[in-house]
Amino acid sequence: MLHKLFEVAAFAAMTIASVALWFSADALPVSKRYAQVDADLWPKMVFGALAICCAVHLAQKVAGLIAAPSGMPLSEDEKLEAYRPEGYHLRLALTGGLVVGYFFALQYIGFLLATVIFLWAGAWILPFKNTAAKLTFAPVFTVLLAVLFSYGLQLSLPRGTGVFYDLSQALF
Amino acid sequence: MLDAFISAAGYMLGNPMSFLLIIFSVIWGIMFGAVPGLTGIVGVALLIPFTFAFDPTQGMLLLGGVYVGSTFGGSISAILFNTPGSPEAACTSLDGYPMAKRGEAGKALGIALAASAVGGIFGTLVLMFAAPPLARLALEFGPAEYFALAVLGITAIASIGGGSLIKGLIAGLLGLAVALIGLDPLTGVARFTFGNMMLLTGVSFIAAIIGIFALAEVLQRFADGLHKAEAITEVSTKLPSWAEFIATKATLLRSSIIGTIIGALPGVGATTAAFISYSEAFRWSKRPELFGKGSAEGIAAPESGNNAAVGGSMIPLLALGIPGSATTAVMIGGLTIHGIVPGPMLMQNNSDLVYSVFIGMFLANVLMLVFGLRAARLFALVLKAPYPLVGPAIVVLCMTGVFALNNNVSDVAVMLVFGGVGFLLKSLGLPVASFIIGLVLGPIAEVSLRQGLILADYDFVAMATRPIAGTLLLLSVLSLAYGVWGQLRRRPPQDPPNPQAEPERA
Repeated sequence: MLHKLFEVAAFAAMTIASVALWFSADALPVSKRYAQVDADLWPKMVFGALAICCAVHLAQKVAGLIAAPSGMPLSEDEKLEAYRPEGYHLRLALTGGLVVGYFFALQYIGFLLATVIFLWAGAWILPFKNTAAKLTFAPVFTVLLAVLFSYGLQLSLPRGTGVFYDLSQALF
Repeated sequence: MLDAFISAAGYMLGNPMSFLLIIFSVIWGIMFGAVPGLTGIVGVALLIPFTFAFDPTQGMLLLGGVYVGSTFGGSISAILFNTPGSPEAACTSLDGYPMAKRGEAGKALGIALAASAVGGIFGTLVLMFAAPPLARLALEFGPAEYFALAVLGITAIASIGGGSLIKGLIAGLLGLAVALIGLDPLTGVARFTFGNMMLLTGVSFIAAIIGIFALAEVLQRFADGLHKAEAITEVSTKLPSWAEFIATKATLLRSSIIGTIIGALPGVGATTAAFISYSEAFRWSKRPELFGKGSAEGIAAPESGNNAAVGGSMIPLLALGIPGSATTAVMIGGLTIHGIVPGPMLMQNNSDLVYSVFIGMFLANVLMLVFGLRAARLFALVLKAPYPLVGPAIVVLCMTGVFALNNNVSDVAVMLVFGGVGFLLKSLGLPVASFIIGLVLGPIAEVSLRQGLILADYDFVAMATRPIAGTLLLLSVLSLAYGVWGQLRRRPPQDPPNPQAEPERA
């Protein structure tokens, strides 16, 4: 039921956003030279079609909800679609948070430290008993990748700021 | 054609690095295809930033080899693990896994390998001969024809790509909407940038595809947690005997032809080719009762079909600049970072590159046979690689690869945003392939439409009734109608009223 409501909310938001962006396209500056094929022509077609498709799908979803209120048994397809394993949202939040944290860490503490910490932390989200592999994989992979990028491919890596920049500069 | 072919062969022979890249890419591709959740698209997307270090031809050889290797690689986990490594191998598990379970895993892998090589080589040969004349024809195309072609690509993936037609259309339109961000190509007006200067040049295509495919996949796999499956990892590939091979010759030929044709249709990829090949093999088989129980034909048909589709899907990419599949849509990124625009002019201006890709893909298919034969046991071990370590490593490769493109953190931010978008698309059941094809075709469709209207004196009917454009638009309508018909046919019949059930409900 929660999954169905999420879908309804998502497609309702997409319908509203499409309509709003259609008006945003309508407000684009007008060019006299290209009056009949102006900058708003294609965006209006795209957002118009998107709004219609989202509205149709939203109507289908709402009709489905009304026809099968909560408490009714779900079909096999619906069960499969709605199935979320235990701890799904926690793992998703942890992984998402860790990835965003890594993005900021790359900018401030540089590639080497940020990557080692990220790989160590990431290895603990899913169950994996080999602690030695968890501990050794992070530094080995980081060093190999740094060598490949800096010396093999001559591509630069984020170096961080301040003291971390100086450290990165000294290492690669 | 012969001159260009000899010139490309000369280039290949003078650059031993090209052969090393093909070997590496085939191994990389098989590995990414074999590990469920990684897929060939992720394999190609992750390598795009690395092509910077090579010349454009070597870069395309690298990506082409991955595409070939990954299409076969998916069958390894499908046969040994009953978990298709890539969507196009889903059909292979129907007969591959039952054959492996009765102790013939090596034979099943051998049939898959031989069929993949036959299909792949067939598709590449057709690519070699069909792409140049198609490109010459495409030189006659004007904006009206390109617009019609883009519309065909969008409607084809919405209607034939499987699943819900409306969801396919929504995903394709979302891709078109994202492609609108940036400066208007005709008037130079900033559109949907919301005051952000970084968005004036539009969304970085490579950052977007890496986010949508690779990052979203890692998020999904981590959220889903680890699944245990019954795996058979003690294997030694055995190619079928000549008699066994000849027994499947009709299936191989039929599936290779089906795969090449389906692959060449814009927006329809190897997965559809595999399923149609399988259903046709079942229809024409003398022993259909064996299907689903470990039939050799049931393995040979989807494998030759999906590998033939690889060559087929390169035809519209190289000849018309229109991606034939999600992977070729990603490969466009590999060309554009080298400043190369795929399409008919590519065949004229960069014939060395195009013919080197033909030769490279041919060699990749032969190498696939060699590596698949010798290293199936090794690739089976890849399946044991712990995802808690592999997943974060993929995130690191995504971030560093995207950063290295322009030394720009904002590209990494775009990748993160699109990782979230990819995850949301999957959660809502919207096909990611439709989104990415919309993203690729959006600028082509818009510019062609507006230029076409200017040339036709703003008369859309005059533009749409040009012979080639009209035919392509008619095909678009037909493909949409086919999608609607397919949906109506798939809809489950209404249950007849069951009087015995009424008291229970009450």
